[in-house]
Amino acid sequence: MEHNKYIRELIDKYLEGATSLKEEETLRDYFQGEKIPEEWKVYQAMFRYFIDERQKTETKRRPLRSVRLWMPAVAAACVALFFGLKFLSPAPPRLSARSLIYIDGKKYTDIELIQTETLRALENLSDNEDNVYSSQVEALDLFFSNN
Amino acid sequence: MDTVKRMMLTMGFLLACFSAGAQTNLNIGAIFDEYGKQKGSILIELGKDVLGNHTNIKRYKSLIMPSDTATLRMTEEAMARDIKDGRKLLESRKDGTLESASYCLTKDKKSPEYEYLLFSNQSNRMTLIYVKGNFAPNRLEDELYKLKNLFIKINNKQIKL
Repeated sequence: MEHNKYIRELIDKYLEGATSLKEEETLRDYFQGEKIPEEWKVYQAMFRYFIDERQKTETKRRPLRSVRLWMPAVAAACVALFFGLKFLSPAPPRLSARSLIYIDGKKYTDIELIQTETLRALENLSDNEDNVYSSQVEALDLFFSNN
Repeated sequence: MDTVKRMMLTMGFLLACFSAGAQTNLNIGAIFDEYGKQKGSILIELGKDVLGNHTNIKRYKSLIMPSDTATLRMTEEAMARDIKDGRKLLESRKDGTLESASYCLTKDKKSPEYEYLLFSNQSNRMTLIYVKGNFAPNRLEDELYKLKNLFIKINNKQIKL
């Protein structure tokens, strides 16, 4: 009885627009129950309508809030992936200052040795009995004359 | 929601573009890396100290190594992948085995530089040379001769191989 009296006071305050948030919550919780006096059924319908509308609004808002939360995370992940690919992938080869030669896996920087072995490699190309260079010139002449 | 979808698509597109530009290594690079420092191999990479402003060759890398059926096949496959839409300048085979070849790789339209692969296989020794420079295929032979003469000139003596 005391509780019903309290609820009655809250209803009157609500209708006057004087209830606090906590008091409105008390009313909503009360009217979500089943044992409501007949004369208050109309208030129950009203509060239940408000509850439904609130839930719908929260459901609509939730995806947008979720999206707003993970959008910066996705953007950050894309940026991190881009920089990761840039820095972890092998960089395009650049001409080094010093020439190098590896013989049987051992590194040397002696210029004369490097030049000698470079000449040897170039000579290997022309040692072929078909004579790579002159055949190449003939092939190129044919290529350019046909194009 | 349309704004969100648009943003996601833009980010994905930008990421794809940047990713595509991140990797430009040749397949033949794996041959140099795999066999260049093994016993019996001679790997050379020329730097600015030799190439400098004396030649139009901007990069030179060569590998001389013992060859067998497997290494020849791997090298040929790597070269075939790198050539793509490039040009076969010369190719010579004996009993189906590649003996000598020279190729011009697909040229990047934005760059004035050409890339070449030169190959020779004699007496179970394979020579593979990668050259890059701002000269067309019809100038390749001249540039290689210039490189040889450059070494002889710098040494001021005839190098005997």
